[in-house]
Amino acid sequence: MIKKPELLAPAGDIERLKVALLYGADAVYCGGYDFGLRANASNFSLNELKEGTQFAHSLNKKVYVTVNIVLHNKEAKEVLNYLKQLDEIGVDAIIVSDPYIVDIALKYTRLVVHLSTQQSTMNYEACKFFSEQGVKRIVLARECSMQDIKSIRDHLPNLELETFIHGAMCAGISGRCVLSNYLTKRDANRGGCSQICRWNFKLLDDEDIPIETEKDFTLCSKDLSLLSCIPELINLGVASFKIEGRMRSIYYIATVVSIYRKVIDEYCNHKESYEYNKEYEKVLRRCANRDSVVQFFNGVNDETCSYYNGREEISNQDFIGVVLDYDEKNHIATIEQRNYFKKGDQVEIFSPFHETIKITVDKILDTDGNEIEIVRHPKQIVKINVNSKLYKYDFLRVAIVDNELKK
Amino acid sequence: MSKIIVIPNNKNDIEQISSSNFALIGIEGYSVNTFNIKLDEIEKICQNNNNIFLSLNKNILNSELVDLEKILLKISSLNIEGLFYYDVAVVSIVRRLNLKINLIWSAEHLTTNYFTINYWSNYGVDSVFISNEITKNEILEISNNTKSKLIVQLFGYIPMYVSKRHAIKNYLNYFDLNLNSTKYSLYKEEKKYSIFDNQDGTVIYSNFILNGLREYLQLKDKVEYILINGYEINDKKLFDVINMFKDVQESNIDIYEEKLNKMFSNLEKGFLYEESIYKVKKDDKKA
Repeated sequence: MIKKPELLAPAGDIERLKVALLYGADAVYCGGYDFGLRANASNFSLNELKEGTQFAHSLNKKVYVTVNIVLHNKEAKEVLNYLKQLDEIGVDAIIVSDPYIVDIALKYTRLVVHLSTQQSTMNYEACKFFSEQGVKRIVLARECSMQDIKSIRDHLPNLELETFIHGAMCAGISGRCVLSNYLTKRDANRGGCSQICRWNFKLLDDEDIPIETEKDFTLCSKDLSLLSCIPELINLGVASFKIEGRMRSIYYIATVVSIYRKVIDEYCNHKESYEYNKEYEKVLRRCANRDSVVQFFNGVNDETCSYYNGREEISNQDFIGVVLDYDEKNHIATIEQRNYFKKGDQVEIFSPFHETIKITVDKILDTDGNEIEIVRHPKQIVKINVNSKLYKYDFLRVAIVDNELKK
Repeated sequence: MSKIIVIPNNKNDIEQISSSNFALIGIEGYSVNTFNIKLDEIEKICQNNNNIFLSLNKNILNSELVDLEKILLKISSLNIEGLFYYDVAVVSIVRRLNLKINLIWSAEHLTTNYFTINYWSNYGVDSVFISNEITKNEILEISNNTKSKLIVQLFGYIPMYVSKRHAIKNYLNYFDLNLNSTKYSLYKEEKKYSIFDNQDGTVIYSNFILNGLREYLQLKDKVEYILINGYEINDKKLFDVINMFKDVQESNIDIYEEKLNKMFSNLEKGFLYEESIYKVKKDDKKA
């Protein structure tokens, strides 16, 4: 029996935490209002962290809290008090980059400590150092190849390793990019990154003449997806598979988590007969609207890993709505709209509680019971007929018809 | 009174710099943001020169650990003032082999508070190269709260970006361009940033030269060393700047500032007086 790795999902707020866990994540990571590297995500108040932790524990799942900013003097003075509050709440671990926080967390609290990818740990000597300090798990640098992970695993078989498997990539080495600080005054290492790597620049030669190409220069990286490498990662003994994206929507999180959940379960439960399902890849691609590659995993990072030819980021219209409630007696689902849909549309409803079902929307009622043809208003509440039982947090999306999947 | 460390532009300047100041040299294959030389040559330089610091500040891969151990053994036998390091693997090996090397924590943008500096001090780290992204007041506060020796860059271009991707090579490959340019720059909104690929990836520097000559007057009794980065500064100007730092005092600071402004058109103060912003959204929920 293969040991199943943990599937770790991002949670930018309490709703996303619940969705991620319901859709199959074994654990979530989130940030409090202070000390996390996503200063501009919604983040969690202490009360919300408590609520989220209780919710996770009720499902026998875990919550990790990021405390991974690069501390300046004033934050360093305040951080211990925050750690004690997290300890009190009972979060399952903190994710830190600063060794000072490792030290005080282990001395003065009962918190379990994971080392953040912000430390850019790529070798077993560094892993060994932090392991000896009491760090239980190391989130490896996104630049690590399969060989790097294997080498660390071989040298330190008892240390938990966590790797990113999906989501956006930093173009620079984590912690070594302060473009955001200098170009926009926003501190990349304290959660304010303004993503200069996605800007376009003119590239000048040694005589300051712009290099003429079809597109301007950019550092922009494609996203990471290790969907096709999940068996190798499981066989390497990686303890936790991390999905990036605390700023992503509930729809994105539900989709990505549920796909990786399926792949991990399919491989671990039926290793001998496991076959890679290309359709999952297409669902992920539609959801993210960005190209993804395996990045550094195969030991090569070349021009295929970056966007040089422009990138159209069309707002994704697939996410139609979320189920708020279901009336079993009358077979009526209450839906909160997220994108335009209309009577006659073919819709898929996916859920952690049942197989994906396809319906044609035959009747739509507004909150006053009036029949309407089109649902055009954001967050509009409507009722539709669905014969199968639905659950809160089931999602409605545009039906991905078979011929589209075959593209 | 602070001493002066200089990152030279070329090998020829090392002797002159280290005759009355300190030179910081990178080890070829293992250093970024310095002028790098093969370790064998460094060995010869150290035989004839005192006042040499070395930098070994790249992110280390597993495949490089065996060599790293040999390099550190070699370094421990050299007559150097100290070793700037980034990767914790360096500390791990130095401690394991009980090597006598003055370690200087040089994690670029991460060396921002005295609590963490004191943490490393407990692990035998001798000095710290302070981040360029903190204010002068934060530097002074660090100085008042640590016994570690501090090194602060007060002049020169600032490294802003290190990547394991070869951004220029990849871009040129993508568009099938075969160019012979020896250097490149990024240009946007009338600002120009030096960018180049090296063996390990890509590096980008600031568009401006940090000028902390005036601030040096306040910091010189608080920090052990100040650093002048000679990257992209020609020899004559570099030695003029070094001499100004050696000679500056309240009575001549205005004259020297004027001189510097005539020599360079892109002097700035960086973050010495300006805190970087990291929370754009309003603080609307704490409890």
